[in-house]
Amino acid sequence: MPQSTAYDVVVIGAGPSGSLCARNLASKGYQVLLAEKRPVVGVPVRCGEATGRRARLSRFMTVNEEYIETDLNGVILHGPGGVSVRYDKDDVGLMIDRAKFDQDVARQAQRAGAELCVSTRIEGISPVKNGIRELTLVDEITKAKSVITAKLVVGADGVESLSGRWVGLKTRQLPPQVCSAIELRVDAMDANPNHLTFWQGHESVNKGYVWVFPKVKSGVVNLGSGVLTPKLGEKNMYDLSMEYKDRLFPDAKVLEVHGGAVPVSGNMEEYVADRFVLCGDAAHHTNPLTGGGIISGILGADIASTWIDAGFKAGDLGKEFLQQYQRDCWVQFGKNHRYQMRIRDFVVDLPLPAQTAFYRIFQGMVKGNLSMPSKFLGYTRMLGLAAGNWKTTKKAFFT
Amino acid sequence: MPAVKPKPNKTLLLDRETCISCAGCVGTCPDLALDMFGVDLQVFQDKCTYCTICVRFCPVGALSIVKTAPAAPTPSASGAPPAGLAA
Repeated sequence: MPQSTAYDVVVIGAGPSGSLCARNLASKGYQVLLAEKRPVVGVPVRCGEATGRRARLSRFMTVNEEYIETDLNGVILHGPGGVSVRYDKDDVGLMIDRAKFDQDVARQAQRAGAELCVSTRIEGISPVKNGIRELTLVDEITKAKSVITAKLVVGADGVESLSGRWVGLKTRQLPPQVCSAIELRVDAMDANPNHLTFWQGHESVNKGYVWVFPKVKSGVVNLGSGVLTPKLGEKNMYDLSMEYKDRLFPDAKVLEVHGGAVPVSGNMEEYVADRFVLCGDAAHHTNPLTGGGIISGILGADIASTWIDAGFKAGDLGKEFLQQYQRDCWVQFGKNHRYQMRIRDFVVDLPLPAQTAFYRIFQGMVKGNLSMPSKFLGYTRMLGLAAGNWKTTKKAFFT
Repeated sequence: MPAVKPKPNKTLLLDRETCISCAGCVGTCPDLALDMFGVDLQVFQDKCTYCTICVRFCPVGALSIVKTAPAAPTPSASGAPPAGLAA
């Protein structure tokens, strides 16, 4: 149960973005409550656990070697028609232990002065009254209810976010724009221990991909699959993952199964309200092409904390002021996400021969063995077709 | 007063053996008919509109919509308690 009943900021959800937002605000001297409904932060893990480069992560925090599993050296993408693209480059990303990572960020928030309450579930948020919002808290162990007040609420409650709906935002995810995913933790080691491996395309899984992410330090492989919401009666993700597991690691044991949803709709149209801000997965800050959301979630939370601080200083936490956070997010990554979403939708809708041709162009571009004119043609075709026509290209780039 | 539509004879079934408590369906439900309490997924039948989004979404296939028999007549009309309530 929280120590106090009145806070400056209440952050719902102690994931990476919630914790980071709480850390930044607490270090600026605000009284922050970080409420987590689970008894342990970071458990159960619902993530593929691959993330961006070390340099990108260290922009926001000191990278702790404790949670780093693998330094990735490349990507292998198996497309349709036997075309596989191999990209070798040092430092393309990191594999992390997500539970330890979440706990590390939450600890940073606690060190900065935020109060972390586990097993605390928020059941409702009241409308703004006299410049505060009231929150109903339920202790998950004793089931005791209490009411606390906050000058501002940050909803970082992930993909199953309800906090946005309580304040009247449209956080509902429409069926094709949410990715259904499952991951098996397999007790085996991949043949390419420092590479991410993907299968995509008509012959394997069209509206999504199957992944194999090796975690070298703990000696396991994350094998998973995720697709845009399938039609009724299609094969479910569990069977698909098991099929790949039997093919790739026939004798290995499955240690753990976990699944979840990935919001892949690109940034939401509106995710701020009066004295309320959404960030992380709850604001759909995930990359619509890859489904990765750790870095962009953290970046969004960092931007949010900056604008919340500015709002407190200006004495204005209204919707219009907080919309600057939304605009900033759009410039920093939202625009890019929308463009990647167009590429995704374009590739997914192609018929098999065209998709194979697309992968051939892609392969040539990565290998760098295309002649200059065909390289140019390849790029323009990719860009032009992905965007449809000039009107949509303009929209994707300049709005 | 708007006419109240009778509920269709359907039920959203949750297979607790298969469910992995990933809570993905909670975010996809447009009617707030699903909620997570700890690791326990709850289905609120009265809110469900049988749109099948969660059924399509569920990565392990733990949710399904089944047709149920039409509502049993009330005990006073038939003289015997409905079969579901016996024993």
